[in-house]
Amino acid sequence: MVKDLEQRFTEDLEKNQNIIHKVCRAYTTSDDAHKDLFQEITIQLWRAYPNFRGDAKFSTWTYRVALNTAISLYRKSKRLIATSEINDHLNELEFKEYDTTKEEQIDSLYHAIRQLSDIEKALCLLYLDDKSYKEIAETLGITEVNARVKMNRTKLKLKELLNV
Amino acid sequence: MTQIDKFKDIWKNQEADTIKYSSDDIQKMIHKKSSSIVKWLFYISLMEFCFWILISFALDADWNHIKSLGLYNFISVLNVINYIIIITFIYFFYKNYKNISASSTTQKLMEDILKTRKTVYFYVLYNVTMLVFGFAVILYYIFTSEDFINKLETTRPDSDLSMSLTIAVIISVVIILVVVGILLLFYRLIYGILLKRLITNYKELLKN
Repeated sequence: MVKDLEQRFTEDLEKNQNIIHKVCRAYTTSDDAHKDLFQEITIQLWRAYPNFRGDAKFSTWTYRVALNTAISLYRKSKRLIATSEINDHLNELEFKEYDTTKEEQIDSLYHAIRQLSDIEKALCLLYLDDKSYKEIAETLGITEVNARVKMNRTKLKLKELLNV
Repeated sequence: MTQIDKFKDIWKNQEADTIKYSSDDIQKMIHKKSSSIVKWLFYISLMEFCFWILISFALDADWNHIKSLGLYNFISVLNVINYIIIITFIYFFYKNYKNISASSTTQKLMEDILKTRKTVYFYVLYNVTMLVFGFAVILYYIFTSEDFINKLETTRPDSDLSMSLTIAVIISVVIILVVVGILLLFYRLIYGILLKRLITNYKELLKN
């Protein structure tokens, strides 16, 4: 029974891991921290999985748990903070091995997102993934009006950071 | 379409991350231990519960002296009340801890974590109050006991009795205040470091 649940979970997560990677890339600046946060999100997802009723999509539910872990539960270790800047640079080089222009754009987008606050990062990610204000408000637990106000402010900040 | 909206296309078409995990990797991960702040909060709180229980045991030790001061009944009743209150605190702490779920809304998750911490905060506050109250009662009985006054008169026959008593009370109050100060500072420091980021995020989330 537990084995079945475990198998279903790992298969679902394998297919949806891109969501978690996006969150990890926005909230961390090194490969080690990225892996560390990914693992913590996976643990939190697995813990909450028995209560996942399927009335929401697995991807939506994963998004919520991933953001919550990054904002409220994740504790950066000192070792990871100390090496973050060097690794950030290494990360950029690594990503540039792909399609240069496209990767550069993605890199600069992530670079800008990383300079936002934790809450703004969440708003930004949800916006870029085309979530409605209703969904954003439901994920964060705030009113739709508050979500709109916050989103406008975040967009302006992001615009400034991206020089557009 | 605003300029920012154009970034949505870049975002949606981004390459899959360089790191890809297989279901085997994921399966290994779910059996690893969490290092979330909730886990830390749980361990620190557990240590706090143990610390105060040990303190109350340590203070219980000198029963003969307490009996000689005529405080036996008073301390016994206080102890029973104390243990009932501690069990109630542990029950609420555990209930709040169990309520914490990463799949709640962000605001609710933050509130649940802060609520758990608040239970421990009140627990510590209760214990500090009890400690001060207990010390105050015991010191009052010691300073007004014949045994103590006789000792004071024998060791310092030339000095003014009320002056000596005042000095003894002041010294005791200063010691209690220093102990309480250190305890509260230690407590603030631990939770300050642990929950600083969470509290900042919570305030930002609530702000309009």
